[in-house]
Amino acid sequence: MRIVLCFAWPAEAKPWLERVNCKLRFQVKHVRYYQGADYDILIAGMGPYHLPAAIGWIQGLIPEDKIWWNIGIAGGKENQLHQWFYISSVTNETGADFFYPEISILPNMPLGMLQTSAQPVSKTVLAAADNLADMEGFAFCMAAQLFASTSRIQLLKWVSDNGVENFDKHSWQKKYADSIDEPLQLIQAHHEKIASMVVATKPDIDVYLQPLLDVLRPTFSQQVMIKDALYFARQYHGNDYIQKKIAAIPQDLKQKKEKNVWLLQLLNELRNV
Amino acid sequence: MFSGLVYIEEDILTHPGTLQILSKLANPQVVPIKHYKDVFNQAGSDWRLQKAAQKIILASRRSHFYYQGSDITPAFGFKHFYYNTLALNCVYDCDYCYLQGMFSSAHLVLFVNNDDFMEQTKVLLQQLQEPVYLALSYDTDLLAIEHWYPYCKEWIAFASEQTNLTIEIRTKSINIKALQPIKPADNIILAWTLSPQEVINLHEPKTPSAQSRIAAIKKAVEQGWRVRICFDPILHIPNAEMAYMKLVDELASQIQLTSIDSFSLGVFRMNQDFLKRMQHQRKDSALLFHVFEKTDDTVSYAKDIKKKLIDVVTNRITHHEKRAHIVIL
Repeated sequence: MRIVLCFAWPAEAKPWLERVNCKLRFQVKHVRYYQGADYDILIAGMGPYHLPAAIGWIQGLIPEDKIWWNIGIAGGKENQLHQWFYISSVTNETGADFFYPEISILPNMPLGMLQTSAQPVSKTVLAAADNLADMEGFAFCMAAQLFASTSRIQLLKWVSDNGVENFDKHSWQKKYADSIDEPLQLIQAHHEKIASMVVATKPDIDVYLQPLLDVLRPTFSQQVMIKDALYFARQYHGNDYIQKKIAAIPQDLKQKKEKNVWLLQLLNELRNV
Repeated sequence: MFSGLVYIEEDILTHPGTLQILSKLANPQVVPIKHYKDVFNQAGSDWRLQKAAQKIILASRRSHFYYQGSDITPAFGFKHFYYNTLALNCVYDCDYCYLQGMFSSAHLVLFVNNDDFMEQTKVLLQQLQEPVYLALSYDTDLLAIEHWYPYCKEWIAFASEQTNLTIEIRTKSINIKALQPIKPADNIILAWTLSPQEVINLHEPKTPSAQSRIAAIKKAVEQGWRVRICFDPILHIPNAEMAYMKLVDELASQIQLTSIDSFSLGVFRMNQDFLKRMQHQRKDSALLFHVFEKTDDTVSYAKDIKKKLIDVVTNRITHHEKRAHIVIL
């Protein structure tokens, strides 16, 4: 399961690129996709239109399951400057539509609510806003939701501007870069939680299935029946029982009729209570 | 349960019920929401992951304060059988629970406007002018969450003042202490789902042991409550006959079976669409991959298995107490 860290702005991605080891794999105009052993990085451009387009493009190129993270800076009148926030709710400019990322671990940072607008957040807008404000979060969620469950769509925002102190275009980058250990730990903990749930709810039966495919050459619907029987037998009869039943099947079955007889017998034995 | 995050509808942020529940949670972090369905019905939720980090959603019910029971649910001889939904989802995590197939979210919704439910029930009683059986805890386990909000206490007090209303509180909880100061009444039935320890170990994670459930039942009976014992669902696990016989023997050794109001027996059965959803979500539970037979929209065990399981439990109960009132579903 890939972890894709999605950024709008190259400056937001820079310290992450320096930290996680990944290499440029695809590029179209300013949109770049870097791939690494543990993390991939997507830089899409600012505003609400680039990230959704880039997510669709990448999902088309690499269709496997992913955990999508939108990471970047945000304004926040009520939020502490230079602090990371784990986003618990995202809304659009009108405040009428919402997305709630699934928070499944105890975060090592405060939770924050995010409002996304299509325009850069002015001091006036920020002064009136109760939530964190950015330009990509909501559109990111809507796009990622096409390809992932709510537990695999996550957002982290670092408050660069509170509308009171002047936004320093130069000094924020060092402070931001120095702070990425905290979000990295959270991303890793989240990944471990998701991975453990996948293991718990989808037991690996391939080890039993493969030899059966070779010997019995089952049809697609027969394969479904075998899988269901294996899920059943795994909990009620255990590995040794299953292996013994599979080992009893002759390896040199030629006739289709013969294979079906053995298949039926196996299904009965696996499903036996 | 991850109690850190609580979603609360904006309109009820300061509702007394909300404040009461928040006061029972350790360091709650509130996320205001417009409507509980914005979170609860959000597309693409991961049921199993949500269950592993279940959150509370506090909401206010605006309509549908009760529902008529479905054909699968038992009416216990009442012409008017209803159930309500004071909460959605459960703190337990039973493999066979139909809520996994019915709701898209595993989060626990608690409706804090309990008074409105009771007012609407009064209206129903006035309209019908006939005995009504109301199950309080079908889509949840209220007694298990009584420490957060006293739903059971408030409904028992309400029901005690009503003629024509019988309420059933079904549970696996052993939180009988929560009911101790309350006087039992004839129109209140505490119904315990009882399963062999083998079933609990395999398919009822997070629930109290068979021994402790029997101890809670014993206390309830001693205090004078009407108690129903539900062997439902009876599951076709390996050595099921022996497991269920042992369970009934254990029950009979602790409690006079004549003191039990009734026994309700039913084997595993489920709406086929719910089962399909559950099979898709989780491959870790054998009971979902049993060979089932379909009747209309409901799947269950084959007739001979059903009969065998029901006979084993029925015969064991009558072996101990011939006069036991047994309802087979």
